Amino acid sequence: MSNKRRNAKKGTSNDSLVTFAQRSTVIAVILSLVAVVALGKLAWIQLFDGSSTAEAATKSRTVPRTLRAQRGRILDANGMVLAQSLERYTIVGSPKAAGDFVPVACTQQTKRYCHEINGKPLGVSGPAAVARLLAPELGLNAMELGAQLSGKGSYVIIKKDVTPQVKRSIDKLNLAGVISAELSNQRSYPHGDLMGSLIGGVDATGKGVAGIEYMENGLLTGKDGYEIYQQGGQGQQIPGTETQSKQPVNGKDVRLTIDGDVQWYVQKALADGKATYQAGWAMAVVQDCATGQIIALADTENRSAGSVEAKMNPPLVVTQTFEPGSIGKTITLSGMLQENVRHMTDQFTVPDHLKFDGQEYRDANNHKPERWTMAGILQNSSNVGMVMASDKYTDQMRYDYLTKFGIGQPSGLGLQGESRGLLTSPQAWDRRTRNTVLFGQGYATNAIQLTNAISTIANKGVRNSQSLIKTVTDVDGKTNQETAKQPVRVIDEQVAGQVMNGMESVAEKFKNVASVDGYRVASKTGTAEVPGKNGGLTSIVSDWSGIIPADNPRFVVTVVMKDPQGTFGGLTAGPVFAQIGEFLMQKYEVPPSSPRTDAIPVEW
Amino acid sequence: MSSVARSVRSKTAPDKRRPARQSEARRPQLSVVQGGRESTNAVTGNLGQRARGVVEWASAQSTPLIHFVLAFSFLIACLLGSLLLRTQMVQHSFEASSVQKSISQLTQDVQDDQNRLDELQAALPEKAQKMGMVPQQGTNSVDLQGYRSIDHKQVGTPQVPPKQPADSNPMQSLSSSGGGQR
Repeated sequence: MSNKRRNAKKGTSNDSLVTFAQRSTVIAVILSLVAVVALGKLAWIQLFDGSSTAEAATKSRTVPRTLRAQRGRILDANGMVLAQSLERYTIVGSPKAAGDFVPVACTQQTKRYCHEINGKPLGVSGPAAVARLLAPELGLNAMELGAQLSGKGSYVIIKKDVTPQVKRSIDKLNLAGVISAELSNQRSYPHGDLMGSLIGGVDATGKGVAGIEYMENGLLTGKDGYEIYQQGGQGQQIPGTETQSKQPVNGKDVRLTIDGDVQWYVQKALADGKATYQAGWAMAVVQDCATGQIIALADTENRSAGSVEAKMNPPLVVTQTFEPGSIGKTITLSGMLQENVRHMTDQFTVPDHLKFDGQEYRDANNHKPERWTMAGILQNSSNVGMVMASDKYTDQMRYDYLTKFGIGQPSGLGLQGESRGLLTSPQAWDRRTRNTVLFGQGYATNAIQLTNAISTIANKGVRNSQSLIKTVTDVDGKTNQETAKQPVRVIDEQVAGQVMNGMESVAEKFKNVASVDGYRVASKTGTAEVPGKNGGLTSIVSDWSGIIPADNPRFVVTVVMKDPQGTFGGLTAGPVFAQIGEFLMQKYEVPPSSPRTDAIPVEW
Repeated sequence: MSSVARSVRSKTAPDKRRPARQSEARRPQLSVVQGGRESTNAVTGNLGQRARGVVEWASAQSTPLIHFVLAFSFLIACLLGSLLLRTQMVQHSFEASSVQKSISQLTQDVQDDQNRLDELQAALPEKAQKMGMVPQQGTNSVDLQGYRSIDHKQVGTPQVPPKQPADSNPMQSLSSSGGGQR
């Protein structure tokens, strides 16, 4: 009996062990099968069969995006940034999503995506809640922003040109899906008031519309790229899903010939001169004699680059045309000497007025008949003397030399709104005009053309083409020098030297008001009547164009003032020239001049 | 024809090629247990039969089982490896995206800082003027015309060069002026 029980008990124990082992085996096999099936399915979807399903999903997620190229910079001759593009963001809201917005209360679990202001719950939902969160970051009124987000639709521009720092703080508000940011570019002008009209500006699309921005738009504009990728539910790019892309090519950097330091000082000198002489406006051009490069191009309008005023109004130096007045005598003298119809030592007895061909000509000052040479006629800026000396200087010669010196011709700078001045053909000249052109009346020029005419004399009779662009640098750092046009010889070196000599005598006459200590100056003053507000010849333009140093010409400076108190160019524009000249000598560390020993006699 | 040939070969030397068969021959003795539940025996019997079927099928193949296991393991390893690589690739892609984002942010910051620096630089002259600073004016020159170095033997009687105006003959003058304030 007991053996049976023991056998029975033993049999039961063995049975349960077998049963447990069998069950375990069955479960293990089932689990293994499930795992194998899952793995197989995963492999099948991932590696074989997923393509068709994924293709449809991918197609719905795949979007193209334009990669904006940055516009190139504009630099001065020293590399100072005058214009550059900065990455900014346009903050866009979705009123539809804002209407559905329900803030998430902050707890330990939700602290990574919850919404609160200064540790306190918002207390509202919908557009009001979004506005409360967003308004402080953008510096907007929360109520106005809430109203903006209360409409229908899914695209409302909230604010443009938002800095990356602000955009990052908006990202931390956990408003993805309601508020988004689009990358954009903003044109920045760190030295805004420095040659604002010359730099110009761009329109809303970033295209240059005025000034250098317009003139060099082709170089400054880059080529946009693109990328095609898949985006997530919130519109964000899914990493590793980029299928096609083309990197944008940024615009080229344009370096000007303008020296920012000189430009700043010239603007200051002009502003001081305008205030001192109570002029309507003043403008100046500084040019490097040897290269034709414009070092400064300033006026007293002081418009900020990028502003509407700067876009609408080109610089005065290119738009304002005027009769150069007695500065024009240098061109006449150059032509007469070159054509060998006169010499600098030719002697004249010059009265203060002259009746010739039915027309009366007068000098600016009354004087008794003076015994002047040609150099003396130039020094005393005698209109009568010029008419007397030009009996063999034909009308065609007068026209040809004005043209050769660039009067009535485009400067070649290509600046928007630049006037080429006015010079009619000799056939159109009347009996008076054919003689007034001898002393700078009867034709019109701008300050840039006039500067290059004087620079031709300073450059030993060779006329350079003027330039504003020094170099262009592409994104790879490759720098290309701007090619200048071939220089043209206008007068012989010897003739240019004689005219320079005469101009130096002019400068000596004004040494008390317009001299630069330690440096010789060759210059010519001018004063001309120009139309005033009523259209009559009621306004005065006083100008001064000087070469410094005269013994080794480096710079030509032209200063023009409208209606200055003091009238004559030598007394108004002259001191401003001297101020600028002194700065140039210091800035460029030009060695002082040697004494003058070869002055051509001005009297006989 | 070929299947018949394989069948014949398996019968010719069963003991040498498939020693596992001997143990299977003992299995019926183990299954005869007194008092065992019929249902359990039926299930295990079925599974056992199926397992035996698989083993027999494998034994019936010309390729050894070890080859089959190795091939299957290799396939599984490849599968897992490709999945691992794919996962790794996506992870790296996320990291690259994160680094790219950081680069963009730093570039933006550098741009902004540079712009701020330029603006401050532009404001310098105006601030200097407000502080009462003025641009340098006038030029100071040292005239070296007629200068002779002092002879060490005549230290007691130095020769003073003739005094001339600074601009009288400044061919060899040294300008002491700098660039001036902007």
